[in-house]
Amino acid sequence: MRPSIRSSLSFAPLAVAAGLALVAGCGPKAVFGLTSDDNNADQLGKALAGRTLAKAPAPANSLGKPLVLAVVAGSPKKLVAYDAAAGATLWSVDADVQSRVAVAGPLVVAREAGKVVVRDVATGAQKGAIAVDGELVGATTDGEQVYVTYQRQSEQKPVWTLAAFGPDGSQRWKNDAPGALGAPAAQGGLVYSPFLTQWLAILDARSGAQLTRIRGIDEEISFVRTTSDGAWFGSKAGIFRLDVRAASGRRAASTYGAAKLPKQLASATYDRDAFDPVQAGYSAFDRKRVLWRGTTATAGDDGGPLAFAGDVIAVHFFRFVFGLSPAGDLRWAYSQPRVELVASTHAGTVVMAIASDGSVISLDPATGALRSSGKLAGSGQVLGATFDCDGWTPAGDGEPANSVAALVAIARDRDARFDEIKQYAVASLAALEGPDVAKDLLAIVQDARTPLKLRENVVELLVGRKDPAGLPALIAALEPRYDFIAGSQPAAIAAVARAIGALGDRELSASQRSQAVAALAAQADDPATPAGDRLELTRAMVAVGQGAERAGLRRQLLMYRADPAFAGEKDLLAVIATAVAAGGAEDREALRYVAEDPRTQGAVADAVKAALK
Amino acid sequence: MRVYRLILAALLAAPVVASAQPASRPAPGRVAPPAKPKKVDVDKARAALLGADAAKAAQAATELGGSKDAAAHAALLDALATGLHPDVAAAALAALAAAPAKDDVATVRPYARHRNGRVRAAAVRALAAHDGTGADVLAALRDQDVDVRAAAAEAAARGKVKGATEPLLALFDKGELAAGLALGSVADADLARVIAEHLGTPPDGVMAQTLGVILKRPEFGPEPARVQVVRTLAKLAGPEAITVLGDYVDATPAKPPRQSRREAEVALKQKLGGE
Repeated sequence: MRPSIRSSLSFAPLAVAAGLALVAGCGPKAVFGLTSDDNNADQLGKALAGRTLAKAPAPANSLGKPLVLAVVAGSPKKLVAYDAAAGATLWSVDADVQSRVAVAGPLVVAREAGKVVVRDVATGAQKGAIAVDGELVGATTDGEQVYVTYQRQSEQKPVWTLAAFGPDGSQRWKNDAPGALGAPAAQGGLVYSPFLTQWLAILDARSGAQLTRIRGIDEEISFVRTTSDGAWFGSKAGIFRLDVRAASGRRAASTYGAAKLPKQLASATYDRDAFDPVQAGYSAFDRKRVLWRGTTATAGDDGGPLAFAGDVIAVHFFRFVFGLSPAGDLRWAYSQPRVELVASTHAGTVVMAIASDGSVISLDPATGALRSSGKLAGSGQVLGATFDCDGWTPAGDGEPANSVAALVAIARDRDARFDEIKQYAVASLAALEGPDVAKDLLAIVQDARTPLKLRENVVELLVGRKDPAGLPALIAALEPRYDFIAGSQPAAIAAVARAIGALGDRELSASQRSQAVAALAAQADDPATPAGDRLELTRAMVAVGQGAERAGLRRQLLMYRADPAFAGEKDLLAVIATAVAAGGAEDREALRYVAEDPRTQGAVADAVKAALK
Repeated sequence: MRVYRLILAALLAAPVVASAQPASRPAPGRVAPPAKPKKVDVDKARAALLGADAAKAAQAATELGGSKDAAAHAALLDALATGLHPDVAAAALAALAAAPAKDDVATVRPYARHRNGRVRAAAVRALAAHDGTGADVLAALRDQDVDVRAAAAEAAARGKVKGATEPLLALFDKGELAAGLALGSVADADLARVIAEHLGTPPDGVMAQTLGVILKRPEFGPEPARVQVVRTLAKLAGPEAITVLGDYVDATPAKPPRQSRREAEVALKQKLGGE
């Protein structure tokens, strides 16, 4: 469980001070203390100036290969290094991995059983091991040292520790903290350590000394992330670029940004919560992730808000990936066939993900095109993975994205967990134009396995689209007939009728209108059509027919006027009588005949008389 | 009368024809024509047909159907064209089936899609008396109402409607006796073999009665085909097979000796002995 102090800590200054008073003076060393020169732009600038960054986006590992370090279930578990560029497994070792895997330079680091084990990135061979005296919060490496944050109990008080070790497991330095430390990140001679969700401490990797510290004033700090071109921190609410402007501690004065997510995707986070012990390992949280890259070109002392690279983000949501504008507008959608994507990242040029069956995919962030796909050797279930693929560009253009197909696949997914996402998919689908969209929406409506609520929503979207391009698909949906021998029957007739009726005020040719009326009439005249559907079909005929429906309705009125069952369909009667009454003299003469003839049922005569008034 | 005829002429797509020419095919047997046409007061019957009392109207429709007067036939067509209570419509259609005229089809055909199943069944029987209605019969074989399907099956057999065998076999498989009887009434040796191959799919009772219809047809043959039918019957359980075998033995003379009769006797003894 997360330390309770975090949840009780307010961001109001007094509360923060009170919280710190509780923990100040409890630790053996004052790196993580109450007093510090927080939010000092000069010190931050100096610290960042001393940082070593890659000259160009590139993987952090010393092989220079885009690697996916995957943990595969089994007895024993396996740690697999997969070379995405080669599409082949680099190595695979038995390893009881219990944490996330970190990789940089020649080192691969993860907790295995009770120790943090250091492995060689080229072979997977063990190079060293670090005993962890407590619960692991997080471990990382910059390729030279290993940084481990853990929590232990000391004299009835919890103590958090951030320590550095050599690859052989020898301790280089150690800082205790009286309050919660988050999982660290290391980059180019600096170590970043979230502290009490309020601070981001920046330490000298060689000595462990604190160089400076950022205090979040109007937002907590729950994650820190490094990429080959920068470092970023923030919370569920948004992202700060770690530049000099971050010393303000405020969103407005920082290089800060947030994407507006559709409510159905709002549970996705920008990164893992560095304070959550559950997220110290791979978990379901990794399946709901906002995948983003911030640009560095426009940032600076006088830069504006954070800009997302390509003006696009992606949201990984279990089996699905959605490309969105920062404002939340859908750009593309991808649906992984059959199995869930268990981990993902934005690697700069491509969005990458790995599925539980070991499939590794990369998508074009701008279009959703499948740039590459491969698969880990072996058949074990992938539990989670770390990507070290910064800057990797797959060869070729890949397969073009088919967002409509993906949205349809999402909407028709059988997994009951995704009902909200299905709603989002159909809403997104309905916003698209074209004849295929109506066809796809219809398929969802006509699928008997579609959940009722979703079907109702799709019907409303279908009706609300009012897209004349969809008329052929709607007419085609009326073609199937009840067939006792085949055991078939038309589906969702009322919904189709409503969708056609909604086109009544749209610009349609006379031919289109007559085709629509003919299709509607054929269903309305089918004896197998239920009364409720018949009513909607007739309403649609009236709405779209512009008079073309009148002759058919007149015939229906004459044929059934003496039928007690027809007389019981009062709404239908009213619709027909009103429509015929709106016609010419001939129509009204027919109505008068029906109203006065003794064979006519009373309710029918009443409806006709009412229409004639 | 003249007023609504004028209205109808303008309104209805289906032309109303007063003439009553003989149809090209005899009427189906289910609606038997009256042995002796009665003298019918057409005006009076027409008035009842167009009145508010459905029971009287239905009776009037039957009376008009029994008349050879062309005006009586026209009255039925006119009434159908302007809408009738379902009970009356069914009676009027049955009357037309009993005395079909060549221009009935345009008026009758819409009733094959009437919302009332009894009306549809009557319309199918009425249509079956006419050429060019095979598609209507085939469509009715797929109707959701069992009575309509039964009427269509009967019509398909009587009219030897092309393309009806497959849907009839499908209905037979679903256990529809009317389909079986229709197949049995038209089956040649090949079709009889096909029917026998469906053993186990329809209920045994339906299979037995279907095969019984085949055996009752004197022209069915040759003898080996009859033997195969009897052997299939021997495999069936239930009282229907016993009845059919017994009927066949009873109806077939002992001389000259026929293998099918002998095997039927043996099967019958085994079944009766086993019970």
